[in-house]
Formats: sequence, C-alpha cells, structure tokens
Amino acid sequence: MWFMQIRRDFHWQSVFITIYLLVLVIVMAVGVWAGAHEQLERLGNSHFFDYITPAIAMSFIIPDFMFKLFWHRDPVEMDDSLRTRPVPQRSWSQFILLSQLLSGLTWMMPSCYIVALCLFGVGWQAALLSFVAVLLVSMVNTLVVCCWRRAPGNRYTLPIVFGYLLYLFLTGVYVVISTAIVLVPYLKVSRKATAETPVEAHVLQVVAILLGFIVLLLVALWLLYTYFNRLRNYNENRDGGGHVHQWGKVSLMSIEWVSVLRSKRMRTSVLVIAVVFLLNGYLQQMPEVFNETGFNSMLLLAIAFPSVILGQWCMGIEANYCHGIWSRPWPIETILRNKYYFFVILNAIMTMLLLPSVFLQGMSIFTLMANFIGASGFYVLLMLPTCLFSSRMDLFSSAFFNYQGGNKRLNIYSIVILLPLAIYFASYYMLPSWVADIIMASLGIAGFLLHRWFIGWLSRIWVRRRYSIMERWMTE
Amino acid sequence: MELILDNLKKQYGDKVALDIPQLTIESGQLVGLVGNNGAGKTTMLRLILDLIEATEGCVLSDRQDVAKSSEWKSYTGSFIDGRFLVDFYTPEEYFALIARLYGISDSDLNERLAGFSQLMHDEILGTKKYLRDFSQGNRQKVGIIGAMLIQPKVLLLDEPFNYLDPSSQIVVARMIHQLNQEHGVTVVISSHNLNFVADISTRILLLEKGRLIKDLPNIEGSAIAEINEYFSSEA
Repeated sequence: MWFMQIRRDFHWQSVFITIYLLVLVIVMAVGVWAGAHEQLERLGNSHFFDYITPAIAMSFIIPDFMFKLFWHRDPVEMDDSLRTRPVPQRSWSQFILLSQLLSGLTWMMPSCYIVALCLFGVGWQAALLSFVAVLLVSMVNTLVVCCWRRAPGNRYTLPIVFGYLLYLFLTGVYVVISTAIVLVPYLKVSRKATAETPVEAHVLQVVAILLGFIVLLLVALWLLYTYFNRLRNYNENRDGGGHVHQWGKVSLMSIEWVSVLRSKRMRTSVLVIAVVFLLNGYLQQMPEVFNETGFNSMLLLAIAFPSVILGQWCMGIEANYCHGIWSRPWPIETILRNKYYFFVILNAIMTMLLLPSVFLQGMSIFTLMANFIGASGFYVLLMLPTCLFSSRMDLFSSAFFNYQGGNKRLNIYSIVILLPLAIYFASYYMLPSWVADIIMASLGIAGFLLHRWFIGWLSRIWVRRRYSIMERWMTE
Repeated sequence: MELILDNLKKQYGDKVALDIPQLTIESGQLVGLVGNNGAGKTTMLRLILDLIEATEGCVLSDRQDVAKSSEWKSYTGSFIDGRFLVDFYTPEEYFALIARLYGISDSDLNERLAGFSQLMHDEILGTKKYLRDFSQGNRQKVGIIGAMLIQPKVLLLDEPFNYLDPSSQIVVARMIHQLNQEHGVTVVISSHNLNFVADISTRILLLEKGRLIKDLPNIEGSAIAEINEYFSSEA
C-alpha cells in the first residue's frame, strides 16, 4: 500500500530537483578537486582520506539532523483507518524502519558522500564501510526525528534530547580517539616512514575504526527502534484554541496581512526571503564588494522580493474562499487594489530596514528612495496579472521545498520578474548612478499614476474569466 | 424578489448536470429542493449564485441576469460549502468582515448576532479559535449565520441541516421558517431531510439526474406523502 501511494504521488518534478541538487554537489566536488587535485592525489596515496572518513561521516550528523527536522513529513503514527484494525504496533514500527531506510531523505546524504568518495581516492574497503557508516548516521537521524514527532509531550521528548546528546558525545569521542591513534604516528613520523608501512596494515586500521563506528551506530539504531516501538500517540486535535492573535480591526485591507501572518506557509516564505535579501543588501553595500561593481546589485531585490514572492501567488490565498467572495458585494478590483497597497507597505518596511545602511555604509538616500518608488510603483504592479493563472495555495502546509501551487504558466510568467531586474542592472551598470536613480523613480511614478487604470483593466479581465478560474480552484 | 430560471442547462462533457426549461420561484416562497445524490441540487444553487457558468440559458434575480449584474449580491445571503468561509479568521472576525461588506454597524452586528445565540450555544463566539479548527457542525452554523446575518431578501442554503445536532436542526428550520413568514424572504434550501423540508417549505421541487421531475405545492405538509412514495419506488 505504501509503495502504491508513492507510485501514485510520483512527480517528475521531484526527480529533476533531486538530480539538479546532485549535479550541484558533483560540480562543487569537481571544482574542489580541480583546484587542489595535486595535493589531494598526494594525500590519497598516503591513505590520509581513509583515516579521516569516520570524521567526515561525523561532520554530517548535525546538518543532516537539522535538515530532517525541518523537512521530514512522512507519517509516524498510524492513521485512524489502520489503528482501528488488527495491525500490531510492532508491524507498524518495522514498516517505519523499512520505509525510512528506503526514503529519499535518508539516502540524500549518503548519495552526496559517494561523490566525495569517488573524487578523493579512498580505498575500496574504507569506501564501502564508510558509506555504510554514513547511511547508518542518516538512518539514526531519521529515526530520532520520527521519535521526536511521535513523542506525546515533554516527558517523552526529553529522553530523546538527552539520548541524542549522549550519542553525539560517545560517537564524537570514539571518532576523535580512534582517528588520533592512527593519525598521530602519521603526523609525527615522516611521510616516507608512513609510506613504507604495509598497505595491509593501513587497511586493517581503517576497517577496525569503521567497524567500531558502525557497531556504535547499530546500537543507537536498536535503542531508537525500541523507544519508537514503545511510544504511543493519539491523533488528537491539539490546535484546540487559545493561540489567536489579533492584528487590528477587521477590514478589507487588514485581511491582506492577516492572511499572511496566520498562514504558516506564507509567513515563513516572506520572513525567510526578507532576512536573506536584507542581509545581502547590506553585504553588497560593503566597500570591498561595492567598489568592484560600482552599485549595490541586491538593493532592488532587498526592497521588493518579499512582495514579489507574495505577488506570484496573487489571489492564491483568496482562492480558498472564492465562493464567499463572488457571492458577496466584494469587488475583485478592491481586492487587487488592496493587495497592491499591501505590497507597497511591505516594500516600505524593507526600505526602513535598509535605512541604517545610509548612515553606516554610505548608501545614497536618493538611490534607496528611487528604488523604493520603482519597486512599489512598477515592480509589484507587474506581479498582479498572476491573479489570472495562479493556483489555490494550501495555506497551512510547510513552506520548505513545498511546490504546491506552482504551475507552468506561473513559471513562464516568472520571466516578467526579470524585466525590472534587467532594467535595474543595465541602468546602474552602464549609466551614472543619478541617471539610474531617475529611471527607477520614473518607472515607479508612472506605475503609481497608472495603477488604478491598470488594476481596473485587470479586474475586468478576471471577471470575464471568472468561471474557468474558479472551476480550476475548485478542482485543485 | 423572484428568481427565474430560463432555459437553464449545465453540461459537463456528455453529462447533463442540470436541465430546467422554465422555473419561476415567486417572491416570498420557501422552496425545498430534494433529490438523490447527483440530482443537480448543488449545481442549481451554484448557477443561481453565478459560481459556475451555464451551458445554456440564464438565471434572473429580480429580473436581472445574475451573470451580468452584481446587484443581486447586496440582498442575497447564501452558504453552500467551506469555500464560503475564511479559515484563518475567528467567527467574530468572519462576521465582522461580512458586516463591513454589507455596511452593517458594529452595534447592529452585535444585536443581530444576539438573535442567533440559541443556535451558537456558546460554542462559536469567544472560543479564540480559527474557523479551520472548528468541527464540521460548528462551521456549518457559522456559514448559516453568515448568510442570515445580512437580513437577505433571498436566502440560498445547500443542505443546511448537515452535520447539525437534532436541536440545532430544529432551531435552523425554525429560523428559516420565521425569516420567510415574518419578512417575506425568498428561500431555496436543498436537503436530504424530507421531514424538515416538508415541515417548513411552501413548495417542493424534486430533481432527478438534472431534471425537474415534480413541482409540488406543499400546503401543511401535503407533498410529503408523494415525495416519500417517489423515493420508496426509487429504492
């Protein structure tokens, strides 16, 4: 049944994204090897990498765990249809173990590790055993996350926390001591002497270290499986209330920010983008970077991107209550206009957050203001036409690597996002800064002057196409 | 406000979901729509609300085509399904939003909501929960209240008794009847609950596979016997 579900939920998009990520890893690894292949070959010949593979496997633990903590969404508890049938708990636990072993999430890190093994000339024994070790590390992390998600309350999550810290401590100590035991002679004695040591002795040392590491991991896995098997959880609705936060008086305007703030997916997307691009905006203003290019290449994005991210799903939120909108005196033109003003407010907030750069990093206030006007008047106006083909957004799902709501027309229209960026880069690269400022400000002012007419025209198109749009939202 | 369905047809590919040559719902009538699953009840309500496009024909509300005019929205209250609710709002916020749309003041809103206290049963207001966290029954209540709150001249409800406990069903039926009798509201409700429909409706329309099979005046429940006989023969 699990395999059938995977087959029926299969998307080529996931395959392409996985291949893309793997290609990125390969490119990075090849880049490292190309830059330092002589030193790496020398180290490879002296079995250096064989000795440090446990340490490399160890270094993956924390990033891999964090990744799984955010991204692991597979069910860990039986749903009601299974729970009320004679399915033993042990069978379910075994199923979880097997399904997680076959899960793409568990194999992601080991797959990247294979690439590294191929490029750094590790002996086949070390390669095989260290691959198994990395797979077990990944599996332990997956099972920790499964236990965490299944644990009903602090009484059951605290043992997981302490157990995991103990596991990190013990494996860390083992790896450090065992690696030091073999590496210290390597460092103290000359390389010639080390090179004269028989290959068999190298191999035995490496195999012994890795086998010990694997045994530790298997013990950890067994303990986790036993704990998981004993956990009991019920599918109770924990969101019973009491977490409501008021965001001002209810109005047709306030619904714009309330929908973003109360939608886990929208909120996370906007916050992450805002932080990332804000930091980039400051980084690009640093003298070392700014003097190279002559302009801040991230400024427009730092101001506009949070609203652009929301704008690509224009009406994606409203799709969830579209019948409530259309059956009431709630004009589409009002919705689009409020959305536009909300995006301007967002851009203003980002601009205010960039204001310290004017005093601390010497950013021109005119450049900042010109780009705010350009972003607000022109850039976000270009996002509103997505209301004609955006998909219904699932508001309460996770934001990380969530492609729900994407569609081909949106992907093609994303070319339009590049237009203001192209104008920005071309203006600031080829023209004096003050001229580029005038261009950006002029585009923005033109956008402001035309926005009512543009939104009116767009809403009339939406109303003409309403049946096909609402029908698509109903079936999504 | 009368509703006229003029040569109304909705087709999905080869399948005819609704085909009504002529139907007039007079102002002040309380019409019960009954029929088996797939009869076309919800499709008919969606066409009246201009939520889907008619393959042929049109719906006139107060002699204006609902597809070409928006005037009907100001006096029509309706609730069909979850897509009428704003899931990230609390019930208070949802009702306040409806009040904004219809120009109802805060004091009027509170006064009108007080009239629904028996239906709400202290389970709706003051709970500090978003609509998405409510049970189906309470969401149904919020939707029905949202439709009636605006004191409509036309009220359209799709299976309003679904998910409701028996007490709430009686309260809703009573409220619909009162709205129709005291304020002359034109009401169209679809339901599988024949007893309630027969109790309160002045006219019963029986749909089967998109077609209007029977159009029965229901004076003091006179149509129930014929309706029961029809469904018994279909079983």
